[in-house]
Amino acid sequence: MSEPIKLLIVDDSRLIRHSISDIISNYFSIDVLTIHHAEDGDTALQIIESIKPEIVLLDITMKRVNGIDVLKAVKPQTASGHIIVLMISGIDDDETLSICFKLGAKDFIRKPIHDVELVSRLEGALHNHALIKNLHALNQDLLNAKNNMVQSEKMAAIGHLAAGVAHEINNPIGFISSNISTLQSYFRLWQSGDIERFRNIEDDIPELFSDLNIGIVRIKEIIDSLRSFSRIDNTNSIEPFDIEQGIKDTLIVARHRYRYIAEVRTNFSQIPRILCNGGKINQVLMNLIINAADAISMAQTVDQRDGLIQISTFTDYESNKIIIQIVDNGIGMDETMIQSIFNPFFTTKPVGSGTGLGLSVSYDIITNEHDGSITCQSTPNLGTTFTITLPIKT
Amino acid sequence: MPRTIAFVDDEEPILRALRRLFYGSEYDCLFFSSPDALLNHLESSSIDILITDIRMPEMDGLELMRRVKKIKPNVICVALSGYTDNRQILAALDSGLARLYVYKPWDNDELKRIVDGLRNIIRNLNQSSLMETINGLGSLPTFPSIYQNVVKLIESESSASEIAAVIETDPAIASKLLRIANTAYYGSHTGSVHQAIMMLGMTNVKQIILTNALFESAESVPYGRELWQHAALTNKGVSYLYHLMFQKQLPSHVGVVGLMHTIGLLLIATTQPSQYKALIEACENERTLNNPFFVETFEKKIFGSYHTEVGSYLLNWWALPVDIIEATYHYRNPNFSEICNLPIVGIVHLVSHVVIKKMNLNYFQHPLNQEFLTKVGITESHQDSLEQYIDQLLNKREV
Repeated sequence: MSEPIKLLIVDDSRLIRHSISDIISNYFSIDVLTIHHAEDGDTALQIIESIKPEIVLLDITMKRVNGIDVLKAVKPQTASGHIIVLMISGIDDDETLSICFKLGAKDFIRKPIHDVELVSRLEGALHNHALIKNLHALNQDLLNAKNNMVQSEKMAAIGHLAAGVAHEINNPIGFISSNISTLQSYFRLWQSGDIERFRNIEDDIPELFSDLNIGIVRIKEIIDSLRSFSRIDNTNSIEPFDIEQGIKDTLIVARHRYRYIAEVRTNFSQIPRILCNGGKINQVLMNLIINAADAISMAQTVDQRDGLIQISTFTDYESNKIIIQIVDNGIGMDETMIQSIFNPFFTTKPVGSGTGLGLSVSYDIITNEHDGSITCQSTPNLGTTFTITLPIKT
Repeated sequence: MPRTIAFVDDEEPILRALRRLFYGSEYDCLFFSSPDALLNHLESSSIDILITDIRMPEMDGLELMRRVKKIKPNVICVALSGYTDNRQILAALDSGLARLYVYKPWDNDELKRIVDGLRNIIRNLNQSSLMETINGLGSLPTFPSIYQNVVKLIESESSASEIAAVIETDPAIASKLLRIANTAYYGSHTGSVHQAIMMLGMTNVKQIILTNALFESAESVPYGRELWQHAALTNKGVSYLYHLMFQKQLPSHVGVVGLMHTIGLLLIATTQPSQYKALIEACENERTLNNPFFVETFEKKIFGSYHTEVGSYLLNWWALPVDIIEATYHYRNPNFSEICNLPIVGIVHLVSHVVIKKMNLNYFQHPLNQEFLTKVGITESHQDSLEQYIDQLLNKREV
């Protein structure tokens, strides 16, 4: 059994309040409706604040704070549907009544009060309340589901990052550590005076140092790129962001996913920095780059084509927007598939290798969080183009 | 003398580091920055050992090993990779392409030890006396036909239920798998081939299929049942001791090393029953308390080779991982400087000895090399725990 609905009757006439509550008590059990009274607008607002009624019957003309003032004060609650207001109106109040409707009232009852009218209007209000309550619950479920989705996509992105970093760093660490221990053995040879056996050591040591350097530079590059991804988790970090740098960082971090599949060409036009959440934009870029590599890899199982991913940036000064385009020559998609790609849980990848959330979360990041757009054109077996447009805000 | 090693990696700095490491060594080292370069080289020349990266553009290391195996079947292939996907690593070892998997970053001393170990294996298994014995055995047991099918399924990452369906077509192998899953390995109880596969892992399933024929036909020879029981108990003991020492599961690609390590005796018993009988009789006649270790003396006299040599030759021919071959070759008399994977050899050396002692199979006993055990980190308390564990197993009569 759910909680009874709280009804507040606001009228400066005691007689009207009581005749209304008498009728209501006759028709509705107190398990369904509990009744509260207020004799003026001030008291009404206090009661609304403290007991939070779902339905308010509100007289229009009252001293000091009148019905219209009350309506103005509770506008947020009426707009969200948490409170339904029914006006109690005199016969000649038509013009005022229309103002009340504009301010958020949903219905009215005429004075003098008639049983049938009051009861049927109240039943209507109760019905609306139930519908709205349901809607709120559904909305909350949806919001939770979306948060879970975003969270799991974030985890997937972090998983990609971790795997990529492990793989990319193992190689340089491999030759750095080997070279260091080689250097130690050179040193022991030098100490023991047995250097003759290693006649090329003088040429070798400079090359060895340069290799150590190559390795350190590579690791440093990977760590630097990771730094811009570390913002993925910070939802509120809106800062001026260099998207072209973001693309470069993403390419380094995602390298293990495309390196053996496709060549990547970038064509940058020095687009301006824009205000955005850099970590999230990188998450979108990573998604699109991995998708492109996967699409090419699928095509390669058939025809071993040379993979190519092209990433270009443009500035459209007329509409004050920047455009990012990611073009692959992969397996492509037909119209019906394109229709579904931004839907949650849609995936063409084998079970276990994609969450099916990448593009829907990307869509959300670009359109809802950044007021931009993301579109897709594709031709089966020729390739796919994703175009992201973002407003220049500085 | 095997001495030519080819290294393949698409990263030049890796190749240069390896070149420095092996500079002035006794090996002829060749360095290739692409699989194609090596394949070109192999058209006119030969190598003994291939050490290759796995992920490379154009052709990956697995494909390279596959092609090398086709044109030069005797080359021993080793993967040297920073690749982190465990399934890929297992697929490389399971398919018999890579015989050893070395992780990047590697340790210089360990990599040198591994290369030395591989060189020793190749040399030991190509001795002329051993070749004579092997030729004398007639044809070696070949892969059962079901084996090829299962390997194909494993390579294409098929599910356990698909593999179970294939195995169930051969009742002898299916019942063997169940028997091993229920006794020798995890000691659980299942009647489902599917579950047995899940418990044993693909690698072990593959290896059990290989050895099944030998175990089956060895049931009727003298000591055949005892040898099976000894192998099964040793297998459990190896898992137990490995976990005790390293606090982690025995890597699955060596999961049945205990079952395999005496396979040479089974091979001799089934292919040369009269010689095997002569060996047993010689041992029985020479029974003295002072010298229980006569298998060695007699098998050399009777066959011209040791069963450890014959067994590891067979396992190498079957392209099993190097770790198992080494344990089979060295389990009776481990030599510190000749081995790639020291802990596994040490563990099999000890467990096999303890099980023989507990089972009173003194003809087959080998002396313990305490110095070796200490060097690979097996302590006296490990030994005590192991003895108690084997006692428990024998009392339970599980096997």
